[in-house]
Amino acid sequence: MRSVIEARGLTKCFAGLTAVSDVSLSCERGVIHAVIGPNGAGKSTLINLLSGDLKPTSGKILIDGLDVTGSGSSQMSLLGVGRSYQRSNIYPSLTVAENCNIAVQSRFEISMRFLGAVSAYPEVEVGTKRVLERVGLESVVHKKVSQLSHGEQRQVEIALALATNPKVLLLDEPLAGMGAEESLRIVELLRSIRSEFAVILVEHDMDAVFALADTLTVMLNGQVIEAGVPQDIRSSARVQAAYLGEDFSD
Amino acid sequence: MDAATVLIQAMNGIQYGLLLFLVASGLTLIFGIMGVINIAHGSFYMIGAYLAWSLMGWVGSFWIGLIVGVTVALLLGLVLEWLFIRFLYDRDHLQQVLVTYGLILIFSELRSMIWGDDVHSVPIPELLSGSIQLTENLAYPIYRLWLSGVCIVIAILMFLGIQHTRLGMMIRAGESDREMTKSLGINIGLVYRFIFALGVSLAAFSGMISAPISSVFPGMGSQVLIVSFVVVVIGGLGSIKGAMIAALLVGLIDTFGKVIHLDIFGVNIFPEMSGMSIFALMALILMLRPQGLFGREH
Amino acid sequence: MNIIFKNALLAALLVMLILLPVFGERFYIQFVSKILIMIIFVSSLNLLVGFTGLVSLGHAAFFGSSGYVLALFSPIGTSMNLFVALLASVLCVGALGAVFGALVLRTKGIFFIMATLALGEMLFYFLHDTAFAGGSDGIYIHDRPGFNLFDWWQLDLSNVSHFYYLALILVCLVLMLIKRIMNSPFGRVISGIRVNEHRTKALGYHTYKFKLVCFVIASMIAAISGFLAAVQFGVVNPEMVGWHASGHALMMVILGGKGSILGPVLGTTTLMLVEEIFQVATKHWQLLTGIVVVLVALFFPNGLAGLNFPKKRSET
Ligand SMILES: Nc1ncnc2c1ncn2[C@@H]1O[C@H](COP(=O)(O)OP(=O)(O)OP(=O)(O)O)[C@@H](O)[C@H]1O
Ligand SMILES: [Mg+2]
Repeated sequence: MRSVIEARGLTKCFAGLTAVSDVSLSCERGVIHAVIGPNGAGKSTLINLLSGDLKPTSGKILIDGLDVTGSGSSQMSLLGVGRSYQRSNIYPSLTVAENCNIAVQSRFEISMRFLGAVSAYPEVEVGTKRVLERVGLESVVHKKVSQLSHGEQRQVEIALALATNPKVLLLDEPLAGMGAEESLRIVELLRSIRSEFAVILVEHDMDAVFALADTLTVMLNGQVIEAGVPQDIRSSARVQAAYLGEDFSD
Repeated sequence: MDAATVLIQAMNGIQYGLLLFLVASGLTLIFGIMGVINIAHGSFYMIGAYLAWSLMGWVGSFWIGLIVGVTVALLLGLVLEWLFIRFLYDRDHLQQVLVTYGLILIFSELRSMIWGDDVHSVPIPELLSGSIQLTENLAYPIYRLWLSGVCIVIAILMFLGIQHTRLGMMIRAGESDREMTKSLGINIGLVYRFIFALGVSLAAFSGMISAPISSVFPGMGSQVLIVSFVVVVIGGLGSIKGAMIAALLVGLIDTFGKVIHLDIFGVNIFPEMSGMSIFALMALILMLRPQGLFGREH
Repeated sequence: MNIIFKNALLAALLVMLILLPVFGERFYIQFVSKILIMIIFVSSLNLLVGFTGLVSLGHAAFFGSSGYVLALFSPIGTSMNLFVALLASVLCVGALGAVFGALVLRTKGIFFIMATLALGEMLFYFLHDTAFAGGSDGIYIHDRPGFNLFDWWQLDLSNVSHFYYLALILVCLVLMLIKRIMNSPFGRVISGIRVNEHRTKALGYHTYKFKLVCFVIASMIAAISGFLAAVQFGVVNPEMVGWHASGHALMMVILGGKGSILGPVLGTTTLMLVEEIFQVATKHWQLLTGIVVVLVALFFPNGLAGLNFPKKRSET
């Protein structure tokens, strides 16, 4: 199958530091591709490159085979790339519904209308309701996000990514800071929706990674040290070394 | 314009630019380290000039006046930081703008109560009066040369400080970071108070030394504040080098704008519109490089 | 505050305002007219500062230039049609707002504050130093625009009551307009930009475009107030575009409570009344104003509107 998103030789240099170096990967619809690696490996930077939050120093990004390198984050979003952030990046002083409304509305060409009331466009509310049901936030729809628990805020983060109806889902440590129950729920959610998206998942929770991932890329110091299917990664000596002897073989 | 006029004007432009650098760098210092936008900065310049004027009258010596004036400004800065500014570190820019705007109103009214609303002039100190004969029929006032020299010395000290101290690193980073300051392991409250006072005395000092070559008038604070903002926008925030180059650019353009005569379709564009030339430069920079000449993308 | 109570209060206020010219003295009608004009200006600034999170220190550029458009284009000897003149001012200023906005919106945060202030001052120097707009003295408007309804009824803006009602109607329209904007899909995006521009961008919005549209709308609303001010005083001068006028309006925004529709009404009325009292009390009234501003900004950053809702105070 043709890959929905593809990175070719992506490199990002910050002053004096190459955070991502010559990374290539691709992901198809229905596939969850996990990117793992120790702290500072460059995973978030890679996600930021793919989402247009950062511009690559060199390398290419392709969506549906089309070269979209250099597009900003708003363009990327419109091209069908949705993302969540490692550190919650949501609207704390707005309610859960208002958060999602903004995301859902971006897919309708109504955002420049400044005279009609929002109530004249019920399609936004409908979309919001659907997303909130999916991630399981129905009970707190009208609560301010700043009043939610940390885990719930993480769910809002994922809801925003889903609400833009993306083809590609970039998830940067979606489970970080969640309780066991909430984690399970999100893993379940990802499992149930995997067929609709090409998912690139950055995650430290190895149980979740091996439960979900179809393919993996392992990064260390900005470079890909191993890539392949889960069994190969588990048995890779290089990966074990990178994780300083952490036990991977169950 | 003949070569001699160009030379004189260029020297005037550079001297004005150097002075602007002193004022603008105080702004950058306070913003870079403490994250506070201080729009009352121009008021301190104005206060400095008025202090120079009245101290000249009281103590009779420009030099003693200078020392007393800077000391007064330093104390003023310490008190102001303690009274108002220290509450602003964690606040948003809007509140910082408003508090310092309120200070502008207070200072301008106090100035009016203490010194009145008249325009004054301060004589050039005896030691530096007179001119240097550059060529046969070309002389340049010693005071202006001295002023440029002082500015350059302060600028060099500042460059050294910024290159070689960790505090300087923060200014270069262009943003304040309390955590980082804390990591320096010093009493930040005290450091901030001192830095603010330093910025205030820098502005006041600029006002004092510029008093003998420009008149002392009520609106001088706003005027210098606005031009300093133009300098910072052109140079880029957090870049002392940018501030220096932008200040010289602005100084030169402003000075030459006032003497060049340019007729377009029979209408004399300069000098009637020379006041606008630096703003036009700023608009151009905003168009081409919104982060400023030497600023990082923000 | 209870919604019913609030609406009753507003209705009572409106009735009092409508009846003012019937009972009030000329001085008060004029003074309230001044407040009404200022409310429009402060509301337009609040659209930027309070609703979009753009702290502009150059908004008076649009207030003043609107008056200049009127002064420059109104013919001597005859009175222009009010609506044509108003439309012309609003459109010209909207164009100016688009140019200024396109430039300053390329910057952020403190840079934006500095750039707006500097561009506003550029206009000030332009009007102050060149002869075509009357230099530092400004321009007198000898013949105020008016409106003639089928030779049957004549709106005469030199009549204080006529002018007052025009201002009152425009204030109501502007407040309703802003309420509508904030309740529209566009307003939703604007709130998103205020709270978290980064995420709004990542959700697919070209935020620059939205901010620019908002900037232009705000400049056009400011133009309405500048137009009225020019008509009321019969003169325009460079001070109207100067940054002190912008700073003054900013004080009213925060005094009332930024980001609410009625905040500017509260803030403007309070500050103008207080200043009126100060002016009677002392020649150095600006000193008192300055102290009030410092204290409000330090201790009541959510303004008067925030006082009724202590819960909201923790949120910024
Ligand atoms: N904006 C930036 N400027 C400079 N250096 C950066 C920047 N962003 C990231 N880095 C550096 O790049 C390297 C990779 O960072 P990145 O956040 O991508 O790691 P990560 O794999 O996501 O780590 P973690 O698991 O802790 O989230 C780090 O050394 C980091 O300090
Ligand atoms: Mg990361």
